[in-house]
Amino acid sequence: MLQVKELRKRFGDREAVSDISFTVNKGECFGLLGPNGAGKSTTISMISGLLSSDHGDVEIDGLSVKKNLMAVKKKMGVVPQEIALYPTLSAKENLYFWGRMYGLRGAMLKKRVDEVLEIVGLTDRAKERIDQYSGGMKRRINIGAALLHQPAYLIMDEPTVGIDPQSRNHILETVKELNKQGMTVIYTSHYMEEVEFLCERIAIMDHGKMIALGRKEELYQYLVGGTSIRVVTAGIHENWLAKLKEMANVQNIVVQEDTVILSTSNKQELIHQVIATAMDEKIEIQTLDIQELNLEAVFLHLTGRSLRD
Amino acid sequence: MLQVVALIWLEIKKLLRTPSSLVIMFVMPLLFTFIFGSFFGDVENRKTQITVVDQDQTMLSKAFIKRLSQDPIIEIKQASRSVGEEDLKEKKTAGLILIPEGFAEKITTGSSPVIFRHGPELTIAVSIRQTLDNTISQLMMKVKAANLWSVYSDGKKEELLKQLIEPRNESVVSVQSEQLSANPKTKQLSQLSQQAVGFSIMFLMFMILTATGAILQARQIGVWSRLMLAPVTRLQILLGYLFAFFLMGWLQFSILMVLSSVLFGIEWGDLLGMIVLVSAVLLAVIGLGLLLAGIVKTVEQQSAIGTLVIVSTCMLGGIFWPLEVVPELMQKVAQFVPQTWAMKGFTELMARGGTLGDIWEYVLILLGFAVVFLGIGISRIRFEA
Repeated sequence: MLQVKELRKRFGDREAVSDISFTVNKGECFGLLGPNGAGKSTTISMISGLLSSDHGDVEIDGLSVKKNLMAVKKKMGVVPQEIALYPTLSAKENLYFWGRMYGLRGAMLKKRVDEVLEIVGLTDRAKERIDQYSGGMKRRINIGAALLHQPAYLIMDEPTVGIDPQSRNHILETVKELNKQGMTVIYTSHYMEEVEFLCERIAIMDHGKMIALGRKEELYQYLVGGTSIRVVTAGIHENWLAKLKEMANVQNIVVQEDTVILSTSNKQELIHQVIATAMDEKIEIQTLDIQELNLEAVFLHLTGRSLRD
Repeated sequence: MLQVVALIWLEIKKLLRTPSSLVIMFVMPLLFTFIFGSFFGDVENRKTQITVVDQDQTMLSKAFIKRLSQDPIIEIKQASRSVGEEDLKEKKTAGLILIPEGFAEKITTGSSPVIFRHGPELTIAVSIRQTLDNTISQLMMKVKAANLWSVYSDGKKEELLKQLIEPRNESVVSVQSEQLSANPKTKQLSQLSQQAVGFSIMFLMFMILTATGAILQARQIGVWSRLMLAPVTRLQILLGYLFAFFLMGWLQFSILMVLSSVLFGIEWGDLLGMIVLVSAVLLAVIGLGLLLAGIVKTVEQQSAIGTLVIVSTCMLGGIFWPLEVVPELMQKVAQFVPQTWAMKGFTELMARGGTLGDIWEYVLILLGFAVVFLGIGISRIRFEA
């Protein structure tokens, strides 16, 4: 079991993480969701011992990160957000090196490198240099390097940033499979679809604080009777926005260029009002979607902002 | 231990796989040694070319030229008067020795008949003039001897003179030279050795600069964080990097020593002294590299500032020219750069036949530099993310 206890971290005047606490059970896939700058990576860095916390501690199977860092490191495999590999070496050479850094040697090292290459699906490209790989292939080896020592806990920090859909699917399927085999996974992302697909329990972070924690169904409870309506227009007028903000049943409103996202508990009435005011203000509505029960809507409901803001 | 060895091997592999590193490590120092060594030449073995115009064309004038051509500091080239004067004017020759008509007669009468012309830049003019005087005096004495002998005997003067003036292997050693000590404190490195040592040190510094940039690069590409996440201690990481830099340095310097010995005939002197000296130089240079890596943020900054520091301290420290030729103030400033002490050590070992006992002071000073540089450099390494 991994327990995060009142973690706090400050950089200068800015509090990056404020008293974060949560527990991840063995065999669970736990999601840490939040927009960029929410404090997810700082939290991950403190959990993995890369960054010391100003307050609080992390315990993994009863071992404190502060007191038993070396023992804790052996239990964890961390996939950093950036591609942390040597670009002039081949994938195989990178994996051999990182395997050795985790104490593997000889036949065991070779076996694990071969297995990991198989898991990430790059056995046939193993001898190519990393700098000749595509972004998706680099990401897969980046994950592979964290799997070599068969960690009990796999901590992944935005592992799919900037890659093609095919590689993303491969990575998500790999993580799902590893979790099925018993590996505990902590998955951070600002892509709510990934977290929804992989994780049973989710913590939502914003501005260094945890604003929600629970199973997916529990988080959807925030939206009891609630819905978000996404309106794409040909161009927004300030007058129309002002009218929308004045509407009684609009709980939150987010504007992204020509798109407006509204959260409400009374979707039928709001749809009528949106269309009516748009006609009054001569706003051309191109599409109008009703989005129900997703984490994006929960985040919007809780913060009044979109995850991608 | 496994982790330290893995880190050492990784860094060496990365370095040897980069073609530009190999150029800096081996091609550049040898090329510079060859170019500058050949350009400046080896002063001890270089001869000055002098043109001789023989207008007399007698047995005596020919004997005179023959004797001059045996002189170790000049190389004789014969030409007509017009060509010789033109060559001197255009500085194709360093000097012109004119043997006028009537040379033989004047020698017989005891007057000095030879004209020696040269430009103001000929620094060995006095030595050449002395050689001319000596050669003429010898000829005069032989002519007199032949004259005198012919008075008291029936022998033909001409025959005797011919025998007397014919240069034989008659090197008259009037003074026996004895070297008081095998370790004279004033002897300097030959031009070629100076270039070989100097460029080896300079390009060693460039290589170490690139190598120590690996820490900055590791931060930039994210592998530093991954190293920190692995179950290795900070000491293991530091040892891995330091040993890697040290071994890379030795790899470069030892190969340069062998190649410069084979290609240029450089003699590096006492092996034990050399091992200790090069190790001390390496520690100081690695310290300097880490210090530079510690005060900048990117590999590019380190490279730019490092190049400036290396070239300027090499100039100060007598890498390109002997310190004795620079003003006194510069010599005092030079005491504060490690290259000065490195060059003193190499001069002691290579030019003066010194051993470890003769260079321990220089080694201690270099280790002092290493302690200061490494202390500051290591203290500035940021281990946290």
